[in-house]
Amino acid sequence: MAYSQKSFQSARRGAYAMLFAGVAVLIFLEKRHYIDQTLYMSLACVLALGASWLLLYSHRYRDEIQRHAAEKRTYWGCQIGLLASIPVLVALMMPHTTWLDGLVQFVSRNHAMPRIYFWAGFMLPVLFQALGVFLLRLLAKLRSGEQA
Amino acid sequence: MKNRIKVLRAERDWSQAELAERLNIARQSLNAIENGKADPSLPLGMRIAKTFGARVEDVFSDD
Repeated sequence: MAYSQKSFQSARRGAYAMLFAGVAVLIFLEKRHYIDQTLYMSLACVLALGASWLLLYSHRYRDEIQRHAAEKRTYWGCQIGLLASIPVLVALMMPHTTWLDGLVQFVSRNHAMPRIYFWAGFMLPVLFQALGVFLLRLLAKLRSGEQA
Repeated sequence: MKNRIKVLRAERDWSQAELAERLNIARQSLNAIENGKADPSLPLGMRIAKTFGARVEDVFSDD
């Protein structure tokens, strides 16, 4: 696929718009109890997959140097995020601490343990990885801004 | 990997943006290649050499 900054930006903006609009609709539907938890989670997964696919697809419009730099940033961002999430995960898994009980009740509205497992085992590492990638992207942007 | 892109570009009085457009890559990518921060693939290296009408070894060399 030929390099096109315009197509890349369009595809990327489309993915973010889809993600934010989808999340807003899902939260609205769940809060109003129009959909149950199972359907909510299924739709959230479909939304995440769709947005991820569009984000990955947008890279077809980048040139090889940009693609390689993005791959490198993603790899190191994920590694850093994963490492950074370990202390938080350990703290989350420590049982019988007062503050933790409070936190669990804050995170888990229905006090169901599977929800905390989902957060600690999946969401937290993914969020930390996304944060790591975001930070590396920000650093690269700042660095290129300094050079300009 | 060292390269002579800057020299060859100056000889032809091409700007980075102009050469990047000819190569169909981003100006920032060309800048990264020119400054040795990124190495192009073989096809892109050959394309760069072809754009200058030179051989690959005349544009790129080992450290």
